[in-house]
Amino acid sequence: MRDAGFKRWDVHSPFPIHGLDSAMGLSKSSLSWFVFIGGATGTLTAFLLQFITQVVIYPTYVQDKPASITTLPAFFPVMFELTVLFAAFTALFGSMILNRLPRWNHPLFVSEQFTRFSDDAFFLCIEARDPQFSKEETKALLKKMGGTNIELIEDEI
Amino acid sequence: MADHGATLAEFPIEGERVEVSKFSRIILIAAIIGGIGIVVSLAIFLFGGDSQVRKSFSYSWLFACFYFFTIAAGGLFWVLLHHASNSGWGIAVRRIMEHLANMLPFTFLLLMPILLLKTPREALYEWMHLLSIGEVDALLAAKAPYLTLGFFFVRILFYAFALSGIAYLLRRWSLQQDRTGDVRPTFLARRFSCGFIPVFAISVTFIAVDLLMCLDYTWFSTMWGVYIFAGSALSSMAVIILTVTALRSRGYLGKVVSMQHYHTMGKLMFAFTVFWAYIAFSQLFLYWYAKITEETKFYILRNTEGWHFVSLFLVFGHFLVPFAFLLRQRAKKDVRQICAAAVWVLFVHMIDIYWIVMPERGPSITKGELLTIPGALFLDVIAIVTVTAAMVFLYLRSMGKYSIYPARDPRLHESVRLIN
Amino acid sequence: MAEASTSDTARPVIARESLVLNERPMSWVTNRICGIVENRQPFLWWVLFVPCVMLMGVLGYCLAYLVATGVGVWGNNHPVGWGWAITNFVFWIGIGHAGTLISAILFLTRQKWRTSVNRAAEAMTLFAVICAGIFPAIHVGRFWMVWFLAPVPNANGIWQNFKSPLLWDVFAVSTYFTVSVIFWYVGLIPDLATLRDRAKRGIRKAAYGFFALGWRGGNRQWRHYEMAYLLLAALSTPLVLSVHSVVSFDFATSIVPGWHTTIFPPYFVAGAIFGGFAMVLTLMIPARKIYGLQDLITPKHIDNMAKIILLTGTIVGYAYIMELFISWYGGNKYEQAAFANRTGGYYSWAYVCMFTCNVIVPQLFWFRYCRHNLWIVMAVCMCVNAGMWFERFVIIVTSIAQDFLPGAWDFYHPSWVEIWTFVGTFGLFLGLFLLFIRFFPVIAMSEIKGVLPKSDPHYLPPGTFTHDAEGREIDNDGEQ
Repeated sequence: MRDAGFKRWDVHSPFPIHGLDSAMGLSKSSLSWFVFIGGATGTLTAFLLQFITQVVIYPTYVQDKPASITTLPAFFPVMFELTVLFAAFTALFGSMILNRLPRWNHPLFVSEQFTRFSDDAFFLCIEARDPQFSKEETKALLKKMGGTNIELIEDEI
Repeated sequence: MADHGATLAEFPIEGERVEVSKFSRIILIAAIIGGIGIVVSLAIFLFGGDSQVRKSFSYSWLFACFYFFTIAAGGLFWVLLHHASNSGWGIAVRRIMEHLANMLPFTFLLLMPILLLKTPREALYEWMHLLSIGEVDALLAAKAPYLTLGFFFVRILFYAFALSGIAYLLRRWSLQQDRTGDVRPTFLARRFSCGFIPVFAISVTFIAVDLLMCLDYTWFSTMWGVYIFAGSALSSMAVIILTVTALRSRGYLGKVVSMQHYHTMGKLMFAFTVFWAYIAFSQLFLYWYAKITEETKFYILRNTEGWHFVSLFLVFGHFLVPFAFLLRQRAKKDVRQICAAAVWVLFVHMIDIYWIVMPERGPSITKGELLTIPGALFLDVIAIVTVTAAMVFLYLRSMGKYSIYPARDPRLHESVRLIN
Repeated sequence: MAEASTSDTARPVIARESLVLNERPMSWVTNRICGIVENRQPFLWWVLFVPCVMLMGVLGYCLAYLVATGVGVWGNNHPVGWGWAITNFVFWIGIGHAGTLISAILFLTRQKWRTSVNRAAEAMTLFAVICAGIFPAIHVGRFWMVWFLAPVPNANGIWQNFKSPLLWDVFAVSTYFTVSVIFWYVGLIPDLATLRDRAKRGIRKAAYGFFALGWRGGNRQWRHYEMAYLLLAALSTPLVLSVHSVVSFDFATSIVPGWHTTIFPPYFVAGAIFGGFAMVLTLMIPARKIYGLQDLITPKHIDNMAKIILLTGTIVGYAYIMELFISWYGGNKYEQAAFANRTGGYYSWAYVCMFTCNVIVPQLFWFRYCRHNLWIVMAVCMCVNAGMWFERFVIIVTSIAQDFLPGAWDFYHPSWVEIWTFVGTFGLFLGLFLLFIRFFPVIAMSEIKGVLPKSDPHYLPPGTFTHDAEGREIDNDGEQ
């Protein structure tokens, strides 16, 4: 399919298929970079929050820990927690944005048989926006590749 | 679906033998350096008299030997873990772990001069000195059942035989399988490994207590064994990675070990970098926070003058640098990057052991007058070079005797087809 | 290509035990798991649920009574300021660790067997953390002032003391809860889509559809989804370790004898995993029987979890022994007295319970027979559940009941309010778990489908193996 030059197509399956990324010519997800930045933001936020409140605006000398940067080890637990928290939120929302979700209404949902993708069926979908797309030829190609139940879904994207 | 990945038919039933001659240059150099070093070291130990050099050199020797002990013990840990968890991924590199674990008897052998000779022993362990001159304080008296010379040697013998024996048995079963192709050794090793793990844990914990923590008999920490174990597993994984790379660069293991194995080993190295930091931080943190004199003394000594910078170096070098470096997936999948990381890890682990042993030296030998002994760094270099050369010599020679991977292991198939 | 190795009889190949028995197809997995949600619940569900609701009422009453009256209704007294409340908090938060551990650590280490149990374990995590959160919140006394724990600017210009372990706890537990919810929810999305696609009625379809976010299972989506899941697992793993470490800092940063010891962080983590796995088994063994999930949660799964209980139980034993050894070796009189009191003093019965239940009883799992007999597994897990509660009780109460000054010593006994609050949290925990079974897929369907042999492009054809997982020889000749 990739070799036929299509760009706007996808394989729908009930579980992630390993090795399909390279077969489809997709690169590694870029999500990890966003999450790294999210985590770093969390570390910095926690450090500033603690440093400013403990040392700058409300210095307290308790537990024999001076109100200065030497108390840094005591700040680590919260710095760690906020790193994870921010990174986790970035992972959740980042993956949603990259996946264009939530999207409750999609042309594919019009198809009756498509609902089986989440049970035990595998689908290959080619969007009509693809420059290579033509009703007849694409259908013939899919047939040639051994496809069954080929269906044309007409709806606005 | 298409079957990709290697199949067993590509691997000869007798496995691959490493021709030691391909490493002959390294072995020769190691033999020469090690030989000269051992002669020099023995000369210092036997004819050093009561000199400061002899006493200082005892610390150097302990540092060098314990460094290699942790690496070999880590090798044993990986073998044990592999069998006990019934893993498949690492069969391809398991023989290397087994060889590494079988360096344990040699590390114990090398430790002998400082444990058997009276002056070096008492230079290292103040409690032994106090016992022999009869100046037993209340604290030492309270610890008497544990800190007595007889019990100390009983324990050392126990560690030596338990750890070496486990390493020997596990390799023996594995080699047996090489010859017969029987599945029983797999099950035997799995069953016994589960039972060996507690023995291993107790031995490593208490050898760490006896040889390192007791350098200052007044200090104590419940985390100590775990701390030594963390560095041990980390550094041995680095050695395994470097060994695999060395063998591959000479044309071995080409089909057996893939980038997937590097990735897995890199992840384990990363995980133990974090684990070490977690343990080290917790120990420091709890003592720093509570501020009890007899507990903080360990860290106060290591934050005095120049040691302060070594401590800081460990924070960055042993944790932050490798952490940031190995965080990226690419670093774990690229041979050059991961080998660089492995070399670095071995270096910082050496600094870690140095940082544990050496701050005790000056105050101990000079009765608190000097923090460091002038010129002793030279002795440390002699010790570490000697022991390294001896270990490299023995390790590389052990490679040649048997197939370099367990060719008839029933899980080899899984290992060569490893996908992360 | 694979045939070549079949003839290679000189080289044994051991099979792995299959994770789904009886070669069930994907549609069977979908039907069986969705069926639990879609069909009427069995009578037993109601038999369990109704008492849970009643216990929740008891919990509500106790909490209301406490808030209305004051913490004086508890048995806490002067040296023992942290009685059952903190014991229960640590107990529940410990149980809340197995879920994320199973999901995250086992995911990272590619332990595929986790797929059958991770969903329920994660849910259990959330409910246990909810139960745990109740105790410190009400323990502050003036419950309506709890917001003071959050670092928000206030009229007094006061800021929290970030050097206090108790404040770290607030951050750790709330982060843990949030991240666990995210992790659980991300894992649920594909399965919610399955429920959506099977739903006929309006509300059900709308509700599942809403939360499924319009999931379409395209590979372009799976790509980011899998990365998100992997990253969340990688984040959760140190998080699990950190949360219980921070809980242990509550104790270990102090100088109270018996609390101040460096092994506390990893020891607490191991204990939490230990107790959490026991609770997972306690819940899953009945659930698999009631809902007929024996093909998905196989004896192999239970066997693995029993082994983890054995391992972590032994680690906990190691920590007990190290504590005893160092308290003696350290030579600190107060430490020695604290451990003498623990092992031989007024509360020594609790110490004996703890040691027996946590270290000795799990040693039964060395024997294969014990790991495969479900009654024994259940009995051991019950022991571990009790033992882990006693562990926290021993640590907290014995240490502060008798610390430095004998003149300040006192003993502690719980009041009826504390006892019923604790019992009530069990109602809350089980009730929430039953609701979870009622409304969510109890096993991660999309992941189970991913570990079926058919889904794995690298799977070895049956003829490859010469021996089964137990080491018995397989006769391959007849099957060609």
